[in-house]
Amino acid sequence: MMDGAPSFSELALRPPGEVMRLERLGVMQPTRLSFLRVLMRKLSEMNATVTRPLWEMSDKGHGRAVYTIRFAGRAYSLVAFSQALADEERTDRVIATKWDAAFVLFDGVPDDADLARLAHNVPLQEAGRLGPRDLVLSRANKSVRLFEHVVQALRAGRQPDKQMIRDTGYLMRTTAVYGNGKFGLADRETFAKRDGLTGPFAAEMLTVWLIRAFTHDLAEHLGGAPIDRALKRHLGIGNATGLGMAPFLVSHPMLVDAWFRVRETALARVLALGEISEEEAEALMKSASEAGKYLSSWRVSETDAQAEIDALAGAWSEFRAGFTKAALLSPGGLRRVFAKAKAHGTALEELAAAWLLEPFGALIDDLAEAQATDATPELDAAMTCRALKALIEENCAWALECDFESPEAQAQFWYVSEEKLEPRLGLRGRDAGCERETPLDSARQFNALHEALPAAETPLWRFLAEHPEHRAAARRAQMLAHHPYAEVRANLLAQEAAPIQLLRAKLSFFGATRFDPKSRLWTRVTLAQGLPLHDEIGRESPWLPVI
Amino acid sequence: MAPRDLSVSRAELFALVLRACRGAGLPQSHGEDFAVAVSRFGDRAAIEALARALVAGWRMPSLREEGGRLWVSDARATCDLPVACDALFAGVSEVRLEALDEPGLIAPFLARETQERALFLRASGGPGLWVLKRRQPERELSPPGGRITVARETFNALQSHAAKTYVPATQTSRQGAGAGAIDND
Repeated sequence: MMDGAPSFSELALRPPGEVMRLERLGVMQPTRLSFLRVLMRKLSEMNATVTRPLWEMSDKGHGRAVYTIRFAGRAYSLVAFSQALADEERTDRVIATKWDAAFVLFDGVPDDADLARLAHNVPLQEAGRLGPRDLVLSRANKSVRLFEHVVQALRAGRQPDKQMIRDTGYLMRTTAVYGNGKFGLADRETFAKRDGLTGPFAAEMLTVWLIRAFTHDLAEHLGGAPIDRALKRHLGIGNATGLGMAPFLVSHPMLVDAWFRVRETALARVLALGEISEEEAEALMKSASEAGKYLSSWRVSETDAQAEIDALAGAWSEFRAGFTKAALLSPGGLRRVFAKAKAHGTALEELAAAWLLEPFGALIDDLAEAQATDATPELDAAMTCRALKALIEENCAWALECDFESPEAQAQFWYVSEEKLEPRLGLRGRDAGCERETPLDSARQFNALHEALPAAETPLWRFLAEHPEHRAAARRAQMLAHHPYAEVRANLLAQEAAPIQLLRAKLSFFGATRFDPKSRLWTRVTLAQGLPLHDEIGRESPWLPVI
Repeated sequence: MAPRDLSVSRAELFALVLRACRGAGLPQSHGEDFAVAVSRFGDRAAIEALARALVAGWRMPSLREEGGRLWVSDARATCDLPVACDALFAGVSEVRLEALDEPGLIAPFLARETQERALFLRASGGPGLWVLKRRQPERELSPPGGRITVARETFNALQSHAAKTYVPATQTSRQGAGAGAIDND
């Protein structure tokens, strides 16, 4: 049981069979418990300060910079390298070998020798080699149109166009943010207990937030004038994310359980409130209005995706017209309003769930600490085969419903590309390599295990000694009894299973907004948009960015 | 650090061992167990032992039960330590591993059992026969932490096993997998 959270039975949490469906994951929204928001609150609590001890940038914006943030008695530095990049070299694909800017989050303040080492390795990204004081590695490309516009406007003595900033929302977008030991970076466990960095992906989120400051400074350096503060706040960091992120939700089941359980516990705590205060009702009315503005300003290029956003905006407007502040203030008002939200469909329900959490920080923010765990599922080899079979029937019915005799149920396969060691998705029968398939097939494994298990009192270890191919599924199935949100309840091999839904879920936990899906395999998002600037730590962060 | 050595992060080693075990044909859960054991509790010698053990690949355990004991003949660490520990967890009093190929993997694997499954085991014996039994619980182990130094040859050997799980990219596989070929918008 995680610290500070009530047990599953104490509050009426939405059941995992409802929450962990792929179609719901694909419409999730950021909340006040999203990792960026949590980080902002912690930086504020710890009175963090940011300085820029190094800025060596040419008149073309090429050079190096260091931003140092201090909190909890330690210093961390974002080291940035900016270089020339020809238009034909600018791609957000993971196969790129050169970027407009490259970054590392360094543990401490780098000296000249550190900077020289980093200059040799960081711009190379995956081809470089990092060390134990390097915490996070990232790179970013300019959003060419907006970056150029901002610079030209500043040079002309004007502020950039608000509409253009609203439409794009960032000056640069990261194409990878690596942490936890990759390419020789520091292991997460070496800093995971430090104040401010205890949360999941906290170091990565800190890096992204500092990169945002760099992009602002770079545009101002080239433009020769400051950007208006409100406009600057609305310039977040873009991110292009593809399949590389998708397997995480399968390969870290206990962490996923913690994230979802915290979110569901927070919602349950809020819905359990009998009555709320006038101020809380007012805050809800205000954030409902802000959400409406956000939805109407959320523009994407893909027609289908835009139609879904427009439909959500319409439904939100209708939903808002269906309740008043007095309704929120009435006993049990939140539960009734949430029930109305559910009637509008899954996308609106998820937006409403995030909205309802907003004014209740005092009630739920303590849960954020429980979002981190390094636990892994373990096998109870003493369980009987009969008991495990029953457990699978109880917790994995969604997997047993799949017909793996049907080609559609296994139409896709996941694999790791030889070229970049990145996850890819192939079509069975069309693409080569299915014999080297990555095991992201929980549904198929549960199904096969259930079929193979005898309904007998045989101890599980004896069965698994003869059928070791089922051992991984056995311990995952056992895990679900105590960690019900650990498994995405979908067959990820099925033709209709779209990885973009996994990406949306994970990115919403990061705090991403303005999901801009480009296909069923990748998306662009905006991070840190609307959050305090680096000299505004302590300022309230909005739920959704609106300008 | 010798010129032929490489300093790697524990997470890097975990990911590599996980793939190497799968590439060598081990069942998924065995790879998961050895990835934790070697990356969290292993040292240079344990990593070398694993790299050697993986060359032999996978084969089903050869088990027999006599007098409440489980005997494993022609024991291979990567194939048999998981089932041995499962049996001890489930109440088998003793597991005897005959002619174990890589005893250097016992210590990190038992440390993993202690940490992950609160299963306290001791190993005794030597070449020819190793005996695994339960022992009294003690204070929990602290993984050594910090980076780990491996010989480049060992790292390469693990990489060559891992490479058996990689699939060459094709133009088709790249289509739609990420951003555009040029992103100047």
